[in-house]
Amino acid sequence: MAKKRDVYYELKKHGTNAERKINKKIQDSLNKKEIIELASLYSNQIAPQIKRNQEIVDSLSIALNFPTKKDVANIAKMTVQLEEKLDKLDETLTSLFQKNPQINMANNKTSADERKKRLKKILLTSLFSGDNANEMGNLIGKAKI
Amino acid sequence: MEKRKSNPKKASRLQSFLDIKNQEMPQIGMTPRVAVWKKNKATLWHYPAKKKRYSVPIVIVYSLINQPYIFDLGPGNSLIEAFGKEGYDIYLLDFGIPGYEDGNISLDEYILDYIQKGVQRVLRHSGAEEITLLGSCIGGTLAAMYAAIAEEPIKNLILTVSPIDFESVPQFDQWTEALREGRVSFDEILDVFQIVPAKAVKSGMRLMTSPVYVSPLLSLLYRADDEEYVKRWRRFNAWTNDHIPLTAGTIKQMADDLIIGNKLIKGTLKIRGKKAKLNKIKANLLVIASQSDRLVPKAMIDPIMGAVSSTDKTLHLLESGHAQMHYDDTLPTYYKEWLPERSGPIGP
Repeated sequence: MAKKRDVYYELKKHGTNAERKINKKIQDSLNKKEIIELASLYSNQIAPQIKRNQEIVDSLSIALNFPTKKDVANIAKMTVQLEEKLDKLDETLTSLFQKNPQINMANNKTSADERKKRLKKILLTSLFSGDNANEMGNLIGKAKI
Repeated sequence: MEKRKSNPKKASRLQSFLDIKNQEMPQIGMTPRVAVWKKNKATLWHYPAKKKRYSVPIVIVYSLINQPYIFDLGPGNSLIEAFGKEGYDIYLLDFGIPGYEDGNISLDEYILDYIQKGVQRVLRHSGAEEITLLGSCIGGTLAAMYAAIAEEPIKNLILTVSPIDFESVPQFDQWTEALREGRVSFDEILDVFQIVPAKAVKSGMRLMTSPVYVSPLLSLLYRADDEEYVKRWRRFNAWTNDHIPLTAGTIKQMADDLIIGNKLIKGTLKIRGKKAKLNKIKANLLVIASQSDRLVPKAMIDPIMGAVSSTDKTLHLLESGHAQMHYDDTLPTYYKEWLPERSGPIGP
């Protein structure tokens, strides 16, 4: 009851009610097909004009040697393509390590030489089969690669 | 003068209200987190549990028009913090702020190149066998679309105030009708601009909800002497004014597939050529709707209950409005009661 006598409470209560009524009136007055049709008509009129202006700027950019927003966007898109390629590489490596659990590059307990040997074995068995892998392994071993 | 003396609290409350703008803005989003994957503007954040008690991590997908920090407004004002305290590992997919160069990103891209890839990253990073997917607002609509085509193991699907059935929209039905009749189209202007700026998104959302928006200020005035309330209000107010741009591709697909075609509930939706039928969803389903939600009323949400194949499904009705602020550091009862037994408890 004490709260109800509070002037701020009354202000909040009546203000919120008034706001609701005003909002409904605004929304009802705008909720007409003619308004959205007019907006659509206007946007369809100005869109070709803006497009023409953009094309003019594109042409000017060649002559005056400045980059347009489209050029910047193209570079950004190429960066995303690069990210996707790296992601794919990352996924391939992860799947390779999952299929060959004996190799774990992140295992710090394994020495660098040991990791190198294991990686060599995986790569050789992935690239060559059976005797060829052993032969290549011996050649690589002799050449101390 | 007498009047002020007789009611000193009233004077101090008004003074407190007037002083608020001079006070330092409280910090937002303080729960510790680590970025585990980034793509374009998107980031997949990991909020590790204080003491992990569940094996199934939660992946949060949020709306495309607001910032996802509504889930982590501040200490004691954060759903993510509350989940972490309960022992859940949380991942949040933040789509970031799109620019002109992202104009062609549509719902298909968001679902396959961001949500699906993000979920795959979560499974890899967490080592979990299954996930809980939590989508809020349009993020929930995207989560449902993804769940309908997902090859990844989704154990639980939680949708909060997420529109699924667009048959009857609550506001501006005449505009929707004109769109459906094909009498209006904004494709040409969208193609020219490629992006709808955040300010225009904000104006559009305000028009849909509250063109005149003074009641939050009246609420602040009423409780201006409550320091904690003022902090929470300011964080929430910052969020309500912090919209993000929408890409042309997204708006066009939303208009064609959802508002005009209502394809998700009708089962005719295709995501990059792949049929996305809700009856493919078998995950345990928790759907949350709000009784006072003027933007996404219950009628737009609950048809999903009959459209999925899930045998374990619950609809929970809240009394709040559309935007749900988390008021303390404990989980809401509906999560506390529903989620633990479905999240693979590990130890006490």
